[in-house]
Amino acid sequence: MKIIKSSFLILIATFFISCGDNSDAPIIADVESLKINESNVSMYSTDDNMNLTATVYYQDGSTADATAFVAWKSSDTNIANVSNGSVTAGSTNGGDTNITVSYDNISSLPTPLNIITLNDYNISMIDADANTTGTYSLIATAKFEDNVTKVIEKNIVWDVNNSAIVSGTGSLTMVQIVSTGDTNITSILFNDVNMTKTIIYTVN
Amino acid sequence: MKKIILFLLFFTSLYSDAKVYIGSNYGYNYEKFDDDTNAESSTEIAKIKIAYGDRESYAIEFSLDYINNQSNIFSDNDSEKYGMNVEFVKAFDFDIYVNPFFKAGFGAGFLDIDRELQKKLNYGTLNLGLGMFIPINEHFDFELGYDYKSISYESIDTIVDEVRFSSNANTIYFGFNVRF
Repeated sequence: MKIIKSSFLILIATFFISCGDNSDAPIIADVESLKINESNVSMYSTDDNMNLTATVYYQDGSTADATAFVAWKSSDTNIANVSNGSVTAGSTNGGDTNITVSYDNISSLPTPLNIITLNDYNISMIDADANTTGTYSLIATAKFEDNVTKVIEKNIVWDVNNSAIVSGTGSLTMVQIVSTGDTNITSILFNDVNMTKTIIYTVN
Repeated sequence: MKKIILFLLFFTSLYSDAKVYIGSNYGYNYEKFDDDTNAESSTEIAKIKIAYGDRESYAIEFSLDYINNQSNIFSDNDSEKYGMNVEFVKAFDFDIYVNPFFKAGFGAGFLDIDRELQKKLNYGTLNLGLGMFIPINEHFDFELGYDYKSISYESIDTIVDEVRFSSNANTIYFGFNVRF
């Protein structure tokens, strides 16, 4: 009797369980593609950095910011480097490279990046006529191939003599003149001896 | 060392009448996911097992599952599921014709999926069950039972997130065992 009762209960349970359906649509959308949001990007060869962003597109039409989750790559790291979407100009004065993002086996289409070439530059000291020891701002201004003039932020190295001290980078570079006489303040761009400029600051 | 000896004594006493047995089950499986998606799957399940134990007391079972999955929950083309389980069975002899039992254990399995970032999804299970052996003679018996599985799936990678799903599966099955 008990067996019959148990079997009956199981049959009833089977009946209710059998009423289930089969879901036919994924409960979580699959990845469709990765894209870099910016296109035809350019920056100057002495700019500090520039930010790019990436988006992941899903098959259900939704999107998400993937900037921090994907691997960024520059096809020519001499022209530009990229990490977590932050692009920095390479050690070469201008050129073209392609930026891509990837995650596992999914890659974006390349985004062309043009690094604008610097044609010439000048260096100067702010308040350079003071004729006294002290700390002064150094500034280097570049003229690029598109005739734009900009303060140099990167790829410049400063050198001084006469016990002077250089500190800071980019537009925040300072020089501390500590001795009388002539102080040679020299800059070199892109490690290229042909792109050297010197000014002389004299304290009598 | 003493603990090991005691355990072995306990173990051998439990299995004094133990035998190796093999069996196969066929049943119906219904799986319902925990989240708000209302995803569900219902299909046939087949199982083969090899076990060691006594029909009237304890046994340990090792089994392989085949679930004829018909749903597409993780991708547009989910495959069948394959699983393995290890379960501890406690059966009773109440001097009635059948031997009721309950069991507990764990398992693992996988299914092939068709996602850009994943082609396979693993899962782990916590198993509970109850049922009865229906003896025919010393060597053969039928088995009627109910299995519950709490299933935790490997996370799904969406690039910006890793989403983990879990579900509850209920199975009613009928089986046949051969004891040596």
